[in-house]
Amino acid sequence: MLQEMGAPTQLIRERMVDFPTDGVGRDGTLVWLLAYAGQLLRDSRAHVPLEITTQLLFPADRFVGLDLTWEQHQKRYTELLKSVETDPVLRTNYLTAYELAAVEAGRPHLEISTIEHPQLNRPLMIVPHLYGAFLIGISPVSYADWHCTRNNLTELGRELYERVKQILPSTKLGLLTLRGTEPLVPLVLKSDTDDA
Amino acid sequence: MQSEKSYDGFLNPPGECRVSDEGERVWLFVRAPIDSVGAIVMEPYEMIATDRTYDEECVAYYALEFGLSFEEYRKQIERIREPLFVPNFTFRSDYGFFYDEMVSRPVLAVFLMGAFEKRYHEQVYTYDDLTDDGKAFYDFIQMLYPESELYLATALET
Repeated sequence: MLQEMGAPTQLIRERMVDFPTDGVGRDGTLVWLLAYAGQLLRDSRAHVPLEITTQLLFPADRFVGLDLTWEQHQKRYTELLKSVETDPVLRTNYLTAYELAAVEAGRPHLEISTIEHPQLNRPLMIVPHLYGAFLIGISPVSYADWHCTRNNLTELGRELYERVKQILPSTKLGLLTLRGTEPLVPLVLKSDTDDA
Repeated sequence: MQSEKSYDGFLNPPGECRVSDEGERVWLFVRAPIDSVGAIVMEPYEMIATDRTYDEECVAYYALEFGLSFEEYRKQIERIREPLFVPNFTFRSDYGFFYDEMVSRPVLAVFLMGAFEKRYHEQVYTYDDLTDDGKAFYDFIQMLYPESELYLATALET
């Protein structure tokens, strides 16, 4: 990923995602491989022996798509646009139509979190019930109407995908595409706060 | 590969006897070599230490037993964990308080390497306490993220 980031640091040894060749913006794009605990997706109260999951949080406006819910998301987005007969930045409960459709179509893979970030004024989306997550793609550009699917993985990306799938019970994998290349949320250090 | 119902994953504790009835979980963290990309995630609940910080944390703990103030001990632990975890001023509940767990600096990956319903390791898991499959996976991840530092974090279920 050295070349893609234009930085002297090699974050990822080899390309794991084949991004489109035609970018439309300079926001940048991230792709995360998500390993869900499938039994908790089916029933969030399901018995699991320990607290064995983690979560990802990011501002709602960075969400581009999740391969597991992409079709339902687009369908719901179209419905919302038709129903309001207005532009796509209509805010409903602090969410744009695109974000609202993502959440409505995304459960239980994706939710709006009650957790807040002191430096952000947009709601945080939460990806719950994760055995883990891997950053597998970084691009300095953004794309029109593109989200990562298995078909966009390179041989190495597919190798990681298949290996992760086999490790823990009921693993369900997803590919999350986000806008921007900065950290999912800004890290706030004690020195940044008033009580430092 | 592990059986479908097993969470043992890649763990191969040094002894077969359980140490206590507390469960244990082991997470792999891939610390990004730069701070301008990655995810900020919560420290595992009830984390003991990581493989890279355990020895130093033990020294601080012994000092606590020999009279170091708890406040000073807490500061030492924060300093020791600082390359991976920092006090949480990032995630706040909608009631306005920050969660007690520390949060990570940007990571490129985080993954549950395994969990037991009892505790089998008296200390913390290291690379040597992984199965052959576990070591192969760890090496694979290290290969994918060549300039990152990998940490194994052991947490108890109390």
